[in-house]
Amino acid sequence: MSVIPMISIGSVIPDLVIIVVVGFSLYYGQFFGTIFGAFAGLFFDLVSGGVLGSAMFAKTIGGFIAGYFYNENKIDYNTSSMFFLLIVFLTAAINSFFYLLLTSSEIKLTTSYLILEQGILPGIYTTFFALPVIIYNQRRKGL
Amino acid sequence: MPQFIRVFLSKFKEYIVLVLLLILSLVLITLNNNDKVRNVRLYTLGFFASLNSSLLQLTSVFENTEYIESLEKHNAELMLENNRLRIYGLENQKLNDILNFQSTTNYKIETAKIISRLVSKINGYFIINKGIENEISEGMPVITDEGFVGIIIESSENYSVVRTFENSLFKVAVKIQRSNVNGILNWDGKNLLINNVPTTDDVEVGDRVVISELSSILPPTIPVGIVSEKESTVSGVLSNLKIKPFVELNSTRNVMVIKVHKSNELDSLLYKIVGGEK
Repeated sequence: MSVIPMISIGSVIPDLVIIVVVGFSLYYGQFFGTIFGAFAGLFFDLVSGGVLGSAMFAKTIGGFIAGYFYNENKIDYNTSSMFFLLIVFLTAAINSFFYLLLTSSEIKLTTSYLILEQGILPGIYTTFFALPVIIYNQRRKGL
Repeated sequence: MPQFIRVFLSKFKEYIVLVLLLILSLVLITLNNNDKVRNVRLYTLGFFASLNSSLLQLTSVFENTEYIESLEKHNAELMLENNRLRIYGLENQKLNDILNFQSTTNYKIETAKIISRLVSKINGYFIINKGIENEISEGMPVITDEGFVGIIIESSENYSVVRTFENSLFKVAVKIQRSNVNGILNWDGKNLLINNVPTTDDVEVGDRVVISELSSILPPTIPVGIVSEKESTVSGVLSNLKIKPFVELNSTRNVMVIKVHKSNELDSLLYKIVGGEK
């Protein structure tokens, strides 16, 4: 919570929690990924002071979506290749979209704003922060 | 039948868990104002805020924070005084004499450090390192030496949550300081706006915007920003004003809490009017 503001670009902020949720889903599957996403979101809601339940909702969906890419035989490939970045991007964008949707009931937002500025841009920025994960995994496995 | 249920559960367990967790999170959203839920929140918030605070102390070990805080507090006091003087200059002195106008704006100020923040253009929240122990409570305004920042929405023993003006739930009565035109300030996700101001009202780009006397939760005269744009609606009868805030929230590290609870004061007055006691 103290570090994130330092690495935000304007209103675009990386969601480091969703990277962990994606990693967990890819390692342990959709069922556990969904549950982990819910707990991670609840934890985030509790410590951030935001609307309780909003991040829980978004990250539950995030964990569920990332879980679709779980494959017991391809765990190494999924977590150490560019495929991981693609999953992070997709999950982060959807997570961000739903989080905003739930917490902005009081204001009128255009669809393009929701998709682009609060979906795709945070997704791209979060993906950037997932790069060290695949670099670390590749080195660890000597790929 | 149990066999069928078992097969169904094992086949669709991911979907069942998803639906249950989503329902649970939606229920939690609706229970945000529930006392028990709030207590749990305050407890966990206090715990993690203290961890965060310790981390911040480590990172700012070389800073003379006390000196900076005292200077910022002094700046905030000067800012409030300066704003009060502006109003005095604008008001008719003769009317003030007749009404026996007395200053009621000598506020107590408590400096605080932002120890955590939820950076979002839709849901801006800060957590500060002062709470009930420092006589800070819900509804108190938070400022910097430049102007208005937000409102305290929750307080634990040592920490408080501030809803900043960059929050979709933020709404406050403000006025144009020069012409006393009132309006409701709100955040649309990108800009601070005062919507639906009659075009005939005396508002110009560059006018200062301050908290209005009509606000039931905040004390008046706290500066908020300046009018940066004036756009007429399609009908041409109303205008929307874009406000450029004085405070840049991203770079704000220390804030001041004004120890005033206007809603309580108003409540007690209303009670007197209706013949009750408070």
